[in-house]
Amino acid sequence: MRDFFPAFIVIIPMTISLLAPLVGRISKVFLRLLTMFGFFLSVIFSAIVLRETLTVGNVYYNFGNWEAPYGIEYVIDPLGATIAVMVSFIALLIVIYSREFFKDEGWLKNAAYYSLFGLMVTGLLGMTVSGDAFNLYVFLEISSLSTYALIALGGPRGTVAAFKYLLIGTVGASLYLFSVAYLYGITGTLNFADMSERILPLMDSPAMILIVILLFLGLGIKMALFPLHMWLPDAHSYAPYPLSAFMSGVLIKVPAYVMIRYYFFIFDVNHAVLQNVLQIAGILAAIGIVYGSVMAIAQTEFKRMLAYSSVAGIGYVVMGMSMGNAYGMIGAVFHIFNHAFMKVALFFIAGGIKQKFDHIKIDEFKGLLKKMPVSMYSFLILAFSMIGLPPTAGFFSKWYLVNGALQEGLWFFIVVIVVSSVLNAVYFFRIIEFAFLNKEEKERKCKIQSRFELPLSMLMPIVVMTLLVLALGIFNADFVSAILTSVVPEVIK
Amino acid sequence: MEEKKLILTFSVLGFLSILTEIIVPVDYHPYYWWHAFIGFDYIFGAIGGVILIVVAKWILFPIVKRDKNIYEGSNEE
Amino acid sequence: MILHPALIMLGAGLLIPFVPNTLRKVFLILVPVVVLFASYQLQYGQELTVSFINNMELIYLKVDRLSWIFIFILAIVSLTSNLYSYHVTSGVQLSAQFIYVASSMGVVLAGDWLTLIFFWEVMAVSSTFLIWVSNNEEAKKAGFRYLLVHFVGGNLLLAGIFIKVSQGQLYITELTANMDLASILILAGVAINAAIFPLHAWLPDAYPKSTITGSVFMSCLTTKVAVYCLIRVFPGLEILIWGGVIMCLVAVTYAMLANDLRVILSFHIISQVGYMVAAAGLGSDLALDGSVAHAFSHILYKSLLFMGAGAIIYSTGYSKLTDLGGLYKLIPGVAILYFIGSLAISGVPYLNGFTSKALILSASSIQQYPAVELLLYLATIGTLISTCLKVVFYTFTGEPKKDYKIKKVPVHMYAAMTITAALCFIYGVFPDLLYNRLPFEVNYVPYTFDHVISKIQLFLAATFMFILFIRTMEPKDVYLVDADWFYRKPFVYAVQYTSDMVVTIQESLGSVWLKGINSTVPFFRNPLRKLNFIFNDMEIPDNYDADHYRVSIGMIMTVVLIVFVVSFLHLNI
Repeated sequence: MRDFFPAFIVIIPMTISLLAPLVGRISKVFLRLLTMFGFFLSVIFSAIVLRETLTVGNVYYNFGNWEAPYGIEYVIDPLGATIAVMVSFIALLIVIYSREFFKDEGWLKNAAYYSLFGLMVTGLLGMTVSGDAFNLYVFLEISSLSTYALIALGGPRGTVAAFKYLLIGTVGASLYLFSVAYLYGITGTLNFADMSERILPLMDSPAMILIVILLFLGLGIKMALFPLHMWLPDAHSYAPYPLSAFMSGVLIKVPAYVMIRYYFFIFDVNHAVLQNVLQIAGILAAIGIVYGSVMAIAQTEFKRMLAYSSVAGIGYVVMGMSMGNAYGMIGAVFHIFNHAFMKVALFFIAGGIKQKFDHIKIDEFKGLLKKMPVSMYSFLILAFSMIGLPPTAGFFSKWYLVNGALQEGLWFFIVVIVVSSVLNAVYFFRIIEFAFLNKEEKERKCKIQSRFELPLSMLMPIVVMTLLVLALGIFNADFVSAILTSVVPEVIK
Repeated sequence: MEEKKLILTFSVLGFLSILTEIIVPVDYHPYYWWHAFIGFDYIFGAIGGVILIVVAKWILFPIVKRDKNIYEGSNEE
Repeated sequence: MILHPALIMLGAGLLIPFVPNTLRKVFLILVPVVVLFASYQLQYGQELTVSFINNMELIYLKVDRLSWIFIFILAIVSLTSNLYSYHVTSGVQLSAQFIYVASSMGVVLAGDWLTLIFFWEVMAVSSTFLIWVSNNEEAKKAGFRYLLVHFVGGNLLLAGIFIKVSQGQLYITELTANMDLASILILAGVAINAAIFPLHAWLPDAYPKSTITGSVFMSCLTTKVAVYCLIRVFPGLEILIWGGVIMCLVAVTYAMLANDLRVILSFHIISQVGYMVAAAGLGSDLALDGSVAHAFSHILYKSLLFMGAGAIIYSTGYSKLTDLGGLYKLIPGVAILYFIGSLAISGVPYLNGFTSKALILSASSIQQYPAVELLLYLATIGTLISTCLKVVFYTFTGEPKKDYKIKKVPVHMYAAMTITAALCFIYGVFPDLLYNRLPFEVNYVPYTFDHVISKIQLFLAATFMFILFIRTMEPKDVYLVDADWFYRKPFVYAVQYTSDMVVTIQESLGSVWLKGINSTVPFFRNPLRKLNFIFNDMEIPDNYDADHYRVSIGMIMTVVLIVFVVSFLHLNI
């Protein structure tokens, strides 16, 4: 039974999502409970697998008992396991949080939402655990297609944004598929471990250049790296609120993880091809950071501001990857987790305000402290983390990134990080000033009644995420040493 | 009238202070020539005061004077 | 058992918003007393450490003669200032006050760079809140500018510290002998906080716009902590001598022209800090002692002056000299206490300013910087003329210029001012109380006949000149532009295109300023306005409107293609 755990991580959400429409027809409450339970199991299984990878070593699972490299296998190392835990945990919180948003809708919409959500998470989890290139593509498409449908649930604007994302995302996925096709063509295998051996003598071939670029573009579109990010602001602003949280936090991080897997674990990262592409990546990331921050300042709508801020966030991750030393990698991976928690929590707060007051313009934040103290204090902590003030996690990821840049002598990156921190301070402190120091301008009606400022199903995830951001910062030493053992040797090699 | 009285008082006091310095035996430990110069501080105070006032009012003031609202209307963020 | 004063204060600051109003008053007084006790109990040589990542040991409490004396005076002034702010009810403001003092103490007691920068940043943020609680438009904008300036300074300091720490030097040491890039960055960061010319303009911009109790706190803390850092890290750095002298004189000249009470006092902070900076630059034992002693005295008399100014503003509602007059009859107590403070700042014998300035002046002549001694001496005259004579004359004597509805000055303000004035006297009459606690041994006797008579002559002469020139010294209500012009104006212009600049220069002076400033706003409201040609539209909306600037799918694909081509070429070459 224990051996099946890696498979369960993916299969359980898939089963749940397939059952959801049926269950939803019968009872909405049961549907929610089932989904929550499913994700809860996913978290448990991922955590068990994580523990195993940290103590014993990588975990392997062969589907249908077909030995690798002939069959499809799952390979889980500490990095993948941690990301799987993060994805399933955040998914769980999102399901809890979604209760308010969908409880008044009909059974079909509920069933559609939870089912598609489950499929999306299945796809993402599959991406993290998969050990086979084409299998990864399948899961990529599963998650993408369900995402497109989910965004469309957000109303008429959502439908348009979803369609746009559909077109662009399919292009991205196709580019990824092309690169897999080339890889299969030159190496003759789809299995990652096998591929990493066979690719070494082939690194100089012209096909390699194409493969690396196609991967860069395809994954870059999926993770919204500047300038391939144009689908992101609309998609994240017009999707349903719980979904935006998940998208900004998790959906754009998993392709970054895939890129790390390809560039650092499978390909020979010291080769000129990869060094060059990482250089381009670094520059684009740096521009993206500044671009995202400047555009965020200009926004009048809170959600859109956060969406642009996510563009900057992915920029940090890619910038860390492009530095090429241990600190940079640590910073990048740490920021993946860090940004996920921060963004998810920020979107939760946005959704909370929307549910309570039915608005989300930044000007209307005035005087919000009195009405929603817990959310605003959490916002304060999260803002500190986004700007990079100790002891929150945001400070530490920037610390590692700056250290990495220092080691390589990349002064331009340091300047970009510092400038973006100042820009972040501008748009976050503006909201803090409105909320904390201004009086309310006109009377607002509360749309929902609840004992606390928000229903517990919404408040609890906000608080949990904020505390995690703090904890991640304070206890980052243990976390970092775990990353060090698994990820860094690949980079230094 | 008030001003005349003030000027008179201060002249007298100034004179007295220099007189005190002449009469009372003072133990200078001079590092520079002006430490031992009788009445130096009074002269320094007078000339220095004039220089400062002149520089402030007639040199600096025209350069830095602006209307109250030069940065007005800016949304500096 | 070692009680860490900063941590106690910090805890109190975090608790205070949750404490009910009546209990808060008790807190206000009790906590500084406890902290004062804790500070007094600290012994030289005590250290507290904590482990951090990468096996770094952070020293968050390090007591030696230098840090003890600073902690002591910070504790004293936190007590008097808290007493002064007894009437404040806003939880946010009180919290900010406590945290601000706590973080200042944290910086002083820090033994390693990381602790220092942590508390430094907390200082910047908490003091910004003290400006923002004023709640009017000007204060908001000034607060933002203050935050940005201190963020930049903090980041420079952070950059320097990063470099130092990654080179392995975790603990704070003297860097004068070894001025590499990191040390220069650290110096720049500290210099901004110390308001060294020309990085000083934030001070007279922000301090007068804070609340009246907020200014009292701010005057004593940020700059003095920066001076402490200069004494500890850069003693004997020659450039500081001249920086200090320039600060002294330029600030004093501005002060002679300024109109608002607190603006004058802010310039005086810069001027007196100039003494301390110059003394730190001189570097000899006597000079460093002088710098410390001057910081000690300055904290006392500056807080007294700001308290007095605050009381004036509180009771009359006006702060500009052009609006004040004849207050001696209306609020005599404040007048007398303020006058004592202004005598102290000028260095009149038997008050504490005299004993500390004398150290610095002697040090500069012993070390053979005669020009420095004379210039600092000159600045004293300026101080006398602007703080003492000008303010007292135009505020307290003469006829009231407006019809004041006098609000009675509360008892606790009087109490706080009297205590501080008394301390000024005590340390003036018994200088050894301070001298015994200075870092280096002092064999200095300030009250020689020579010194006293010199000072008296100086003052008589200066006052005489003031009287003769009294018409010229009359305050005018205008704005004095300052060194921050260099970054406030280019900030406005930098986002315009060059052609616009050429056109506006040709226009008349008045409309140039206004137009330039107004053009940044559109940029930040809509960063894509200049890229309108991509969207083929005639109208440029004022605010960034998402619907207006939506990119077409074709455009997105084109971008993908462009990236592909560019990276392909790059990889092939």
